[in-house]
Amino acid sequence: MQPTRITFLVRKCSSSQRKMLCVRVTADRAASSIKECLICEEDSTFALESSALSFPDLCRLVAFYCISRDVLPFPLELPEAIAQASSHRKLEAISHMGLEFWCPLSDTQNGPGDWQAPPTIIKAPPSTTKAPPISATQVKAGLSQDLCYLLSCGRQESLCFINPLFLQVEQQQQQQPTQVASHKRHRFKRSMRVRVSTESSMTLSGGGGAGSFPSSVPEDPQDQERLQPTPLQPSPNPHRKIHPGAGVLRRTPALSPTSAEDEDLVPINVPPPVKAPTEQVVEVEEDLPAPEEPSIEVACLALEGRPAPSLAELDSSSSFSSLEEEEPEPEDQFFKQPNHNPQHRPPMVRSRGGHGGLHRMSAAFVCFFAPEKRLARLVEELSRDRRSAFGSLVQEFIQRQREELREVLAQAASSSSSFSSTTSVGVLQGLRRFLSKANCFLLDSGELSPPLETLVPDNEKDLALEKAMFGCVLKPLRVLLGQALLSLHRQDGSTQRLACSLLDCQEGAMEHLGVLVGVPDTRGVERVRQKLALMQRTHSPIDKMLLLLQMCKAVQKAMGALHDGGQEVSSTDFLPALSYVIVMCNTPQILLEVEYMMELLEPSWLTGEGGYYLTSVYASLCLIQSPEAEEDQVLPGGLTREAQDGLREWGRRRSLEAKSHQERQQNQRCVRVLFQDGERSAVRTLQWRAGESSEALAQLCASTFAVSEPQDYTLYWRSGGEMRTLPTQAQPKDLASHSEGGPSLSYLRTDHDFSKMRRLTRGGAVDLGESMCEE
Amino acid sequence: MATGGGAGNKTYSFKVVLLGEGCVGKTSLVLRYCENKFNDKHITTLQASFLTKKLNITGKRASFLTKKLNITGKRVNLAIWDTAGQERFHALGPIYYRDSNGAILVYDITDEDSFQKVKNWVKELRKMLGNEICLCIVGNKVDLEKERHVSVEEAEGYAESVGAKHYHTSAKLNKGIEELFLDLCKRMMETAQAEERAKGNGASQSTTSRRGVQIVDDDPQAATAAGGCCSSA
Repeated sequence: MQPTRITFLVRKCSSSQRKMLCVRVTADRAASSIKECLICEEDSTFALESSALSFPDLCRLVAFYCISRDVLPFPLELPEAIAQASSHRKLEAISHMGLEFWCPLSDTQNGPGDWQAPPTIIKAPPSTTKAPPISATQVKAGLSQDLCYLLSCGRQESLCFINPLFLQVEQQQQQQPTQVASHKRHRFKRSMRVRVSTESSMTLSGGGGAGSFPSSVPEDPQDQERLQPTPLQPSPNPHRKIHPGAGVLRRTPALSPTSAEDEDLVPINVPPPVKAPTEQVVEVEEDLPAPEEPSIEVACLALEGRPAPSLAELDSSSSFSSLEEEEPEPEDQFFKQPNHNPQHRPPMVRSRGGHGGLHRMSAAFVCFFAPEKRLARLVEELSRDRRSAFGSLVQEFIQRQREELREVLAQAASSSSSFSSTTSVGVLQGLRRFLSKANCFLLDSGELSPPLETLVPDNEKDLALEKAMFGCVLKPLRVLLGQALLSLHRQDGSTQRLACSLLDCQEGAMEHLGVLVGVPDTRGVERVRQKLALMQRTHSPIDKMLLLLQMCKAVQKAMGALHDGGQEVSSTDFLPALSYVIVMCNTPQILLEVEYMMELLEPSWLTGEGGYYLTSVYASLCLIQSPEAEEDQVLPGGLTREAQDGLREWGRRRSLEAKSHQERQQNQRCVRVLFQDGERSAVRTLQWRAGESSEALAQLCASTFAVSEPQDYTLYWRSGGEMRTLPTQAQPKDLASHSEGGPSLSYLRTDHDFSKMRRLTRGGAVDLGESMCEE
Repeated sequence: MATGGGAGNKTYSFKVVLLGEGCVGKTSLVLRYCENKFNDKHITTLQASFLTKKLNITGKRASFLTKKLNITGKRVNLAIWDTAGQERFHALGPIYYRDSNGAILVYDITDEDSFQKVKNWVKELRKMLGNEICLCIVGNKVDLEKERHVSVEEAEGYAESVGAKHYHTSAKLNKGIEELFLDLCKRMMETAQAEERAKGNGASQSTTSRRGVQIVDDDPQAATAAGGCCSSA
């Protein structure tokens, strides 16, 4: 094989909506030299289609393939500038270059090792899959195990570099990169992003036309030569057993990138991509099973975008994140166990068959490594950081909500009989509205880094995000909210009514409810009661629903005990059996739980299996409470008028919520505003509502950035590659088609010297991370 | 993030409720549909490839089943809600059929009474949910043709008069079930698409209407923001 280099791009295929890794051998410009490898997002993991190795997130996938080729012809390489960047500041600077990163530099103010090698961008027609939709980078030789990836999605492309702190790697120095592993390690506090969002220009297109990219592919032979990669030696042993990149799958720092444990990490001894010194390999070998002989197989619960795993997948061993969190951090204990080299975690080998006997064991891994859990932590951390727009939004809400809930409790305590305007449904509705708002605010603000797409497979994204929202909004309010809801239900008498009905049904429940199938015995009922008790301990509506599903499964199992002949047991038999179990459990609080789920779960999830069984429980409660239940000649199960009205109102309201939620989304946007004034610079995410003039936004900027003379400052946006004054009539929705990479808007002195700014952002003089901290 | 309206990135989620008297074969019907593997020839002639996956409860204890389909390139997730058929549970109907996109009303061709019950359901559904719900009237147990008590003409005539489609099925012989569900899916998709058009630019939005049509983009947020989501970061 020719010694060669691989440049790569991770993109999203616009027609199949799947992510793919496009790799190109730079020595050969022909389209045929482009290899596309679909990325499978299954069972909470990312994997190349033809590979057996899967990774908990996209970053680690790319990191791994920078080190080991596995199914690729060669390991991937990062653009040199990124590989060479030795500090957070430098990466931050790159991230602010946006599309300009790919331009050849005219003024080389950096050392020869820095930005010298501009990448080549090949363009392919957008939204075609067959044509090679490749944008590849061409950089000088230089190896790195740093992680970079470029993600572009749809027509609204964004480009990201991620240089995650969890990569504890040795950086290869330029001299003899293939032979010497210099063990200089570096770490970065935060991952970086480069955003490029020029609408059409970023749609990857082929053929070599430069399109609207600021710079075209250098055609000049001299340039070509300059860009010619330094030949590398091919891997001496393409089938080596050791996959050193496995080290990047180390869990801890990735899960909590900003936590203190990050600081205590020992470097991973990751062998260089090629010709790894033997001793390193040996060291790795001790810990890692060869990927060909996987020792860990992780079969994750395939949630398939549904709110809950199906009943069949559920058993009592299922874990509930929201409950676990209240116990002393099981993960930490797990990982504190003495381990020869705790940094290493082998890539997961995809289980291609059924979940089988590994399922139970894997449940543990699911809860340790699940990307959604990682996402939840990142979001939670962000939500506590008041300096972030998202954090201040969440914290302000929680504070306000606490006050309101305390007021509810105080009212109830002072005069239990007095009419209260607050209802439990009203409280929950308010929470739901905020959850939806915060959810899209987070996505819109772009404050989450690394971005969501790299953390969680597409089909699990919504669920994971929703869970994260529950964690950062509902968890802090759990105890207070529970008390307030209970008090409100006491006031309206609903729990007492149910308690009475439950008592009335105790005797002869089987006959009254018309149970014709098997029901759980006393122990079975006790188990269900425990599920109900657990339900009250968790803040998460999703976990509550999982428990509810377990409850229903227990009922169905017992039904089957009588019907083992394969006779069908339908809803006709299930409903009475479920009602019977609810009566036997005699837990009136179930009413609160059902209401909590009905109000807080996304309406779209209520059509799924969880929704079905939640509906069944609700129906059972109606059945139990129906006034005619005792009289045999009147049909039981009749809904009271009250219940019917309530139901109708509920349905109408929930769908209205969905509608208004969408309108809100269209009518407000988060805008990133870059502020620069002399040495001062900062980026803030601000909210811009429809109807607000750009002047109002400018005023907001003035106060946000503490500008004393607002008249000297103007808002700019990038339009057609140039900075222009933001028109006064501009509206949030216009931003979508105008923002091009980096901060969406800039708030600058009216006499701002743009040439200086350009150099600033390019040369890496802007360290936004620090300037933010200064505030 | 999925943005734009690429034809491939849309998943329809439909809720279908099964209504009908007890013992007409509602549960058998849906079990037959969801648990069988499909590689019938007629499917390929309809240019629809089927991916079947049983997603939930083991064995024959189903009252909720899901099915994933791919119809002319569009992904469809079908959630089928079985209901308790006995008359005494009739009042619970609204809880179950709320937000349904389609309803399958099953009667037993040997049982005149069960057909009357279907008529009652139709009246109720039209009253509660209007004309947008896709109704299918299904005469089950055609394997018992000899004992037929509901005439084909009457049943089909009635179905037409109320804007429903009529089907004859046999869960036992696996007859007519595939067509029933496929037709229903197509009709629900048409309804959903018509609704999208009515909403103008709502092509990529998720549900808004009371009807609960779920048009779930991979990322509704990104879609509604006219592709601006990524760049705002």
